[in-house]
Amino acid sequence: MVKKTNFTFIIIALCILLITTLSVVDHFSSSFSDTSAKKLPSNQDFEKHKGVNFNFVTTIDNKKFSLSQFKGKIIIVNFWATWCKPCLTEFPIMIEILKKFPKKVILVAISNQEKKIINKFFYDRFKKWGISKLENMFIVSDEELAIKKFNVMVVPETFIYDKNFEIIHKVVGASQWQSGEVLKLIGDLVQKKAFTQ
Amino acid sequence: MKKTKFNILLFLIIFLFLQNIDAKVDLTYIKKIPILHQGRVKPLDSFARVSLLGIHGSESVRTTAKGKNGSQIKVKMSAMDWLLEILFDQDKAMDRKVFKIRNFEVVNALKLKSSKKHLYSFNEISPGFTPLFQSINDYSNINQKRRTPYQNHLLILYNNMNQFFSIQTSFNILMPYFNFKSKKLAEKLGFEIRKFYSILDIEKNKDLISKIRKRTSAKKRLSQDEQEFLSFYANYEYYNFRKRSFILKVIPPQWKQNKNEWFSPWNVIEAGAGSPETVKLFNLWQKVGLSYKLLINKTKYELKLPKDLFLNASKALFERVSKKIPKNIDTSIRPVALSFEVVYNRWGFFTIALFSFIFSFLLLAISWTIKPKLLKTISFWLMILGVTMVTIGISFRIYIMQRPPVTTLYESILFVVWITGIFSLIIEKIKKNGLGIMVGTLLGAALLLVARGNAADGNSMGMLAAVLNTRFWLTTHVITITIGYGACFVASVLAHIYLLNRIKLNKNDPKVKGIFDSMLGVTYFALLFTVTGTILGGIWADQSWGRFWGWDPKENGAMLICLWVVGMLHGRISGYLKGDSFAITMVFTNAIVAIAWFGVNLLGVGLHSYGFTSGILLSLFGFILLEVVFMVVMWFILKKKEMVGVVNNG
Repeated sequence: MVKKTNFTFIIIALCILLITTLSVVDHFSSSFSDTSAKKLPSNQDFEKHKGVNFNFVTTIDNKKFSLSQFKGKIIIVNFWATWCKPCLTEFPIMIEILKKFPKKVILVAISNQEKKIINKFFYDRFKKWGISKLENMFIVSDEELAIKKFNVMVVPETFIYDKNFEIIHKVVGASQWQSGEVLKLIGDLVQKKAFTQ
Repeated sequence: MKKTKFNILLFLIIFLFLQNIDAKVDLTYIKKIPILHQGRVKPLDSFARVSLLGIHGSESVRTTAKGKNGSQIKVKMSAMDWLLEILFDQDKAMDRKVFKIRNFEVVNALKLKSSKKHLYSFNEISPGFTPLFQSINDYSNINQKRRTPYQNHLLILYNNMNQFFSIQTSFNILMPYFNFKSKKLAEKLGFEIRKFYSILDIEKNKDLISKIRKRTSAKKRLSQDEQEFLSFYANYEYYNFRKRSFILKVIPPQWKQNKNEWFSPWNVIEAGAGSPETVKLFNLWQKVGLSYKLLINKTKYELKLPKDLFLNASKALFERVSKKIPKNIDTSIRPVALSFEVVYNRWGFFTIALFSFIFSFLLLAISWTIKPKLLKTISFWLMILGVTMVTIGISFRIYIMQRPPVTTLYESILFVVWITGIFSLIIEKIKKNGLGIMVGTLLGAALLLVARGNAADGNSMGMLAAVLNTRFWLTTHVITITIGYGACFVASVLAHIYLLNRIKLNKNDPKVKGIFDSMLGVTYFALLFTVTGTILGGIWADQSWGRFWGWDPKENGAMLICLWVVGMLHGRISGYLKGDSFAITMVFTNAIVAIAWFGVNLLGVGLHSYGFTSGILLSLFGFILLEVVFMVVMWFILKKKEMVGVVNNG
């Protein structure tokens, strides 16, 4: 009889223990995550995606490249189209960035339109944008890259790779370019501020 | 010797719930895939259950399947099986009879044949809806209370059909449904013959396709290739433009700028949330879908496939979603909690508890006539099993929801079951005469039944208003006051038992005295906790609303309990309420607690109406009436007995 009651109490004690430990563990785990989120300085606030590699051919001179060739530079992968107005607002801003950091930043601008259309488009704008001498800009015509490698179906969308070949930011639409946010980010990346490994 | 017997019994019960039916696909991992639904990240299993419950009225579908020797056998299809069928084996799902229509007017309006089981398939119902669209639109503008039952049922059915359709079309974007029979056509469009393509694959040649379409539709005479092209185009357009669905949010956030936003596959593309990561997730989902379809239709194609094809695909998906997502985005995915919730769904701890309480009570009742010792011990162990199940269930809920166990009406009922169970075990330990078992099992079973009624909408784990989310005061205040409620219930049930015993036994009988002492002890305990809880509630109110006491209905309810119990105890000390009359007033404590607990919510006013329930008014009223009748009858019987005693003695 004594044994039986002991067993009862062991069970009850276990129950109470279980509930309290679970709630205590839970309380602490949630409070930990709260504080850690607050302590992070804004510079480290980047998400890191493993950068995806792909090969591309430029439209104008038909040269072949692989994106991983440019590891160590800041890479801007931009999806655009000639008919898309926000794309055309952000293009000059990107060109400014390319001119500012000619050796440290490259741009791969990908459109799913035909080569002819793209080349004709640029022929009209070479002078207006002053881009005839830019060696760090690559214009690409490719139908599959956007969907197969990046799940992009709407333009403009832009991915920014850091020097470690990790995607750390995605820009959708032109507003972040116009506000200067992206310019500041790239400036930080070039000056190694964003590296925290 | 006895111990081993009971261990065997326990194992038998556990074994009954564990036995597995031989299934074609192993659902272990797919069940755990996280999805954002109704504001909470939950496993896909929970989503499937809630959806099926809404459409079918039950968490599983009874259906027939081909047995090993070709005969038809009845099988139970789980909610997860059903969901997978909708997502990846659509033709079968469209003919599966899952929609329950009980209203015969709706059945007639949709021109359906009436059936005994009231079950219809999507394909049966949908043609009947076309002429009704206008009237559905009109009904939806009518206030819900003014609609006729027919209008309400029709609207509910219409919403269910929409829900079903949205779920069904979720993965259309990435499942390869398109192929080309003509080699010429395929080459012209930039595809290969005999290969299957998804909308995402086709999308890359969008410009070319629309160009060809313009050219073709202008022609008057069409070649065979052109005809095939047009039918392909019609299909493509149908999937692409009319079937965009946003309900199945299974793609977790990828970017800091929208870190709380989850996406459905269509949504990813439209909201610009795509990334190399989502490409990987899409591929994994595609593998899951294809392997499911192949394994389910294995016999049809006479294929020999490894059995763990689906398991491996879903495992890879689960690991990708739960572990490899960028770690510095707080996606609120907790893999362990997801597994816990699947286990919680599978076991139905509270149902097991309900049945063990009922059996325990029945065995106790039988033990009064035959084999008292043996049956009482079994009944005791069954009650322990019940309390343990409630404990495990509550612990699981705490862990899954990350909040104290008493924040909704449903949860507070479960917690009171737990409290009363623990109390009764303590009483049983002290008295050892079956009293504790009786109180605990009766209250446990009754309250669990009430709780089932409150969880009927299938959303027993909803999200909460901001006020209730402040952890510390919520925990202390609500738990204290709920313990008080539980103790009140125990004391009140003891009063019932005391009065029933008094019909035959004398006031000074040791059994009657024993019950009275326990009742008194529990009453003091209840008073301590309700008063403390009410004061703590005031402090909480002061912190979150800025006033200590506001004569809110719920506050008045809590106050009512305190006053009632204080009044009773004073009555006893001052000699107004002796023995029997104290017990009779104690009986009504039950009703008072019920008013404070449920009744206040019915008013639908004030800050506390967290569990507004509409159907409960009648049952509450009935309950109070029953208690009053019990009190009056007992009073008359005891009065008569007293008179007889006086006459006999005199």
